[in-house]
Amino acid sequence: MLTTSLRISVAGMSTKRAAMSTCMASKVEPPNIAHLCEKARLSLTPQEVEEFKPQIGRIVDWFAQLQEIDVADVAPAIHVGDVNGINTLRPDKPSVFQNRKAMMGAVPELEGSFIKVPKILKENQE
Amino acid sequence: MQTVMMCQALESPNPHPCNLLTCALYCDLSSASHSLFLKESQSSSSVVADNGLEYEAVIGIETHVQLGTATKAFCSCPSQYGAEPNAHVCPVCMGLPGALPVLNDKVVEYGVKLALALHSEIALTSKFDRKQYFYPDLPKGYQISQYDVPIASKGFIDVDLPVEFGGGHRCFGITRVHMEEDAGKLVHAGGERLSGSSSSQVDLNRAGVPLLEVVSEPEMRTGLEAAEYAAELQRLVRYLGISNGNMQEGSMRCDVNVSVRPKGRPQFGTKVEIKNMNSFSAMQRAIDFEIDRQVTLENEGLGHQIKQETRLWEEGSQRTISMRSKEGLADYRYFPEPDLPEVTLTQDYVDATQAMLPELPNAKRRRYESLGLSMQDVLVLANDSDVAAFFDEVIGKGTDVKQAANWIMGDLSAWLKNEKLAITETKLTPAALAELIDLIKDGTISGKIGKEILPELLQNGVSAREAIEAKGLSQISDAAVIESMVDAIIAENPKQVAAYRGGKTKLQGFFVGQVMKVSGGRVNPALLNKILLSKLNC
Repeated sequence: MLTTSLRISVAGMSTKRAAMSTCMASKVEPPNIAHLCEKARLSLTPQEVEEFKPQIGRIVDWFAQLQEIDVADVAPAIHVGDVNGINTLRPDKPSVFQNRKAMMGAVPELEGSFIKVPKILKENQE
Repeated sequence: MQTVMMCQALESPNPHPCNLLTCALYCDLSSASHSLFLKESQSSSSVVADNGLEYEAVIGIETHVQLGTATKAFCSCPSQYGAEPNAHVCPVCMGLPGALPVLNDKVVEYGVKLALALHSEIALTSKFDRKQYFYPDLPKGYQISQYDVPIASKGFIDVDLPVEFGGGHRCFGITRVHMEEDAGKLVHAGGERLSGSSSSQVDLNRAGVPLLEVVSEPEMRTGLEAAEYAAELQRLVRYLGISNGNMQEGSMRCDVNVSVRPKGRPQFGTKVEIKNMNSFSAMQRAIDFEIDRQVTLENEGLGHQIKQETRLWEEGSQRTISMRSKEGLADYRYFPEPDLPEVTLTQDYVDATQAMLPELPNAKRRRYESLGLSMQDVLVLANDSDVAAFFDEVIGKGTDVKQAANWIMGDLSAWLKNEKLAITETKLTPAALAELIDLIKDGTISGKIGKEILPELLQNGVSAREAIEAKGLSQISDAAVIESMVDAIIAENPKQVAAYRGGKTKLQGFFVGQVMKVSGGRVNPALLNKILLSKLNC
């Protein structure tokens, strides 16, 4: 998960930028930072949003180099990493987690055995 | 899928999965009768408004089935109903940092089973995605689900509508089946009002419990069809043994989408989602109410008042009420779940699972129909797989099909209902029932005596023969014995004999009753009547 302290080195970017300006890569729209922060519950000040916009834009542009590749005849890969032959499933056998007390002890507020949370009526707040 | 023969119905682009199967089964029909068959299989219900305009309802259903596995989807916490709140939790299902999910192999097995039972195309490779949103019952801040590569797609389900509602067969398409996890349970103190308590309570026992989501094609047209679709899905998951499919308990949840449009118009109307239906009958009533509401608005030129929203079914007032605006599609920022590898199935595994499937409800219904049973009987017998299995064993012993059906649906059912037992919980074996029916058939006992001794077989597990001997209940079929009984009764009742011979033929019943009383109900009724009539009418 992302942290809020994101600092990108801008130095090496300019030469790559120049090289990219001649490529035929289709433009990938950078994300709406303010909107994304709201969705991901990140609290950035308006100043930070303005600071990060171009930096994130440059990262997106850098990845956008991939748009140059013709993948018309290539089936999409489902997942990176080859785990063929290795069984990645778990048998359906129950086992009780031993340190439940420590986990429940870390819960800020309990009400009996329930976890106490602020009341939110609107479901699926994304 | 079956190799398909040349068929008119398949010339259309994207032939419906139901048609592919019917083609394979019925393609020796002439094209005229074939298209008639297909037409009958498709629903054609419309709603006629007051001014005579015809509207059509378009209904789609999303069902979440809670799987009856021993552990949760991605961790080994026990998956159990009714435990103390937050008793079955661990770092994985509580979403603590660093915890990693590992998929339960039974979830895959159950997913494949359901997918096969729904005749769908199985993706040999599928993946998980994160569906991201914030809510107190969602510990990780995302739900592990399957977005664009689900485990199964393009299936169908066969439904038989109840006889009392007109009967008929339907075949509804299934868009997709996918695996995902359930969220925890949120309890609002002080009810759903804004006033009252400002806090809620979370129980994470349910967080991480495996679910299969089944999405139907929007092909249902009435509340009845929707309810029967859901009932058939429940029947299916119970037959497969993957879930108890209990709507009241929450192990099966249906969300319905309803829209209406003037008949013949290709564009869909505004879609309204309905939630909070706890039974099939509630589903039917809710949908019919909503169709009515929408048609009325459309018809009065107020169609714009139908908003794309979620409405709740209120059981008390029997109506749907607005909950909130759906505001277009939500943005869940789906991306592939990096902590889980792709789900890989081999064709061998799928074939082996297919071979292990029990006879499914629809196949059973068709088989029972071919045995000559009425549709009414077929629907009752095939509803519960344990009852069907019992019935199959009884007729497997050569017993008359109709007799077996009647005994199971009649006396046996009534006794079970009274004792609140399931058919698997009695001491009566299918063999014992078969024997009882045969003893009645060969005249050893009368049907009436059979009914009398059935409870003993059910409660004590004795055989019919043992019960008959113990109580000396064998039927009297010796003509000479019956004649002497009849002679005695006639001699003892000269008045009634005279009245009978004078024209009061209804008194025959009186004589029958007298002989039965004297013999403890054991006289063969048919023989008795024959002998009695010959003696009275001489």
